[in-house]
Amino acid sequence: MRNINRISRIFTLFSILILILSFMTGCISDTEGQHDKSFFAMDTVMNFRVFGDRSAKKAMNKAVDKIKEIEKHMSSTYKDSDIVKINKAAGIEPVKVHDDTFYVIKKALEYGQLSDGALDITIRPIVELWGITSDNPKVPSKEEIDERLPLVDYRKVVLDQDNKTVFLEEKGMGIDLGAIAKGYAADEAVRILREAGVENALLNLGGNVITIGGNPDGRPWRIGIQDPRSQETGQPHFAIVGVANATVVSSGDYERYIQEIYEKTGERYHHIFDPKTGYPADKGLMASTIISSSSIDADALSTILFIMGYEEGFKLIEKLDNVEAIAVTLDKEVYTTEGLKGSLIQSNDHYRIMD
Amino acid sequence: MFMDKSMKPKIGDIFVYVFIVILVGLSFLGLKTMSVDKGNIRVQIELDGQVIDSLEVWQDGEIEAQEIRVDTGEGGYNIVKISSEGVVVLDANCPDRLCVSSPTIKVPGQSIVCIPHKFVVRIIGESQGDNAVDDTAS
Repeated sequence: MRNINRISRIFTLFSILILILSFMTGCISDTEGQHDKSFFAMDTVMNFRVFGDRSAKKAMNKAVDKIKEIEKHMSSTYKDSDIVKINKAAGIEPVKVHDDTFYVIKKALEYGQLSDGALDITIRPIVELWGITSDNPKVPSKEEIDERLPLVDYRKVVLDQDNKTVFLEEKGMGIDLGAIAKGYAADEAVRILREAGVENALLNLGGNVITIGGNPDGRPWRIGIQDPRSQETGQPHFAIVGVANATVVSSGDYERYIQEIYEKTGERYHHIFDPKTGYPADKGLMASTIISSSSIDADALSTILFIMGYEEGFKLIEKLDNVEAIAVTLDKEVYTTEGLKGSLIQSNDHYRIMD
Repeated sequence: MFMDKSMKPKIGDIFVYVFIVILVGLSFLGLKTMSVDKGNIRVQIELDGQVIDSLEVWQDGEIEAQEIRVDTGEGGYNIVKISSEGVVVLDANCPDRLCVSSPTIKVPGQSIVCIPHKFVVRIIGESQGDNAVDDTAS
C-alpha cells in the first residue's frame, strides 16, 4: 500500500512536470517562430520578418542597428554624414570616409561605367534643382538645367583606395546615394542574419524586398510586383514571382512625382532623372524590376533599366549572370528577360505579359 | 500513517489534482488564443514602429465605417477611415500628404505609410487566393 501511494505520488509529480514543460515549450516556440519588426530608416519604412530562435531575434536587432549606422554615414541630410562632408568639400579637398561609404561609392561608379552614365551618383545638383521629394517641387527652366548639367559626371569623382578618400573635382558638384544605399543596407542585413544561422527571412526596405531561403512552409516566397498604376486599376500588383535567396527591387515613375502638376495636366514629373538630359527619365517605361542575389546590384540595375529603357536596358542585363528583369512600358506591356519567361504569374489583366 | 488502508487521498493530493485540472484547462485556452482564425483580418496602426491600435475586421462581413484620428506628436495627425471598401487615410497635416493620395488598401500585406509622421496603417492576416503574396516589391 505504501508503495502504491508512493507510485501514485511520483506519477502525479511527473504529470505536473510534463505539463509545466509543455507550457514552457509553448513559450519557447513562441519566440522560436517568427520575429517581426517595423522601423523607419533611410527616409522610408522597413519591415523585417525573421524566422528562428532567440539568436535570430538578436541578429535581427543587430541588422537594424547596422542599417541605422549605414544611414548615418550615407544620408544626404544628416549633418555629419560622409556624403554631406564630401559635397561640402567639392572642388576643395578629398574627404576621408567610412569603409562602407567608400565601398558603396566605388560600386556606384562601377555601375556608372557599365551603364555609360545612366546611373550617375553626381546627379545631386539636378535633384536639388527639381526638389521632387522636397516640400516645394518645381519644373526648372531649360537654362537652369543646362547650367547645372556639366556638374553631373561620375568620372569627376576621384577615389583614393589607400587613404579611403573621396574627392569631387568641381565646386558645386554633389553626390546622392539614394539609388543604391538601400540595396547595400539590404545586403548587409542579410549578411548579419546569415552569419547568425538564419535560414528563412523576408525583409522589405522601403519596397526593396530581399529574402533568405524560402517560406518556412517549404514554398518559395511569393512576391508581388507593384502595379505602377494601382491608383487607376485598384490592384496592388500586376504580377507575382516566386523567389528564394533572392532580392526583388523595383523602380518607377509612380513612387514620387509632382502631384499638383499631375492632377492638372496628367504629366508625371517623377524623381528618376536621366543624367544626360537633366529631366525625368523618359524612355517609355513606367516601371522596372530586377531579380538577383545581390540587392546593391538590383538597386542600381533597376534604376539603370528605367533610365535606359527596355531595349537598351535588356541588352545590358542579358549580359550579366544571375540577373533577371521585368520592364513595364507606358502601354502596359510587360517584358521579361529570358530566365523569367513562363515563371511570372500575371495577377491583374490591365497588363499584357509579352512573349 | 504509512499503512493507511483506505488509500483516501490526502488534502495535499486533492490540491495537486485540482492544480492539474486547472493547468490542463489553461493550456487549452492558450492553444485557442494562439491559433489564428483563417480569414480573420486586422487593421494595425503603428507609430514609429510601435503598434498603437489593432482592430479586428472580418474578411467577408460588412463592417461599420469608422474614422480614427491618430495624434502623431508635435501637433501632427493622420485620420484613417476603415470601412467595407478598405482602409484609406482621409486627412493628415504632414508636409507631403503622400499618405492621403495613397490608394485604398484592403488585402493583407498592404499598407499606407506616412514617412514624415512615422505613421503606418497596415492590413494583417493570412493572404488567401490565387493572388496571395507574402510581400510586394515597389
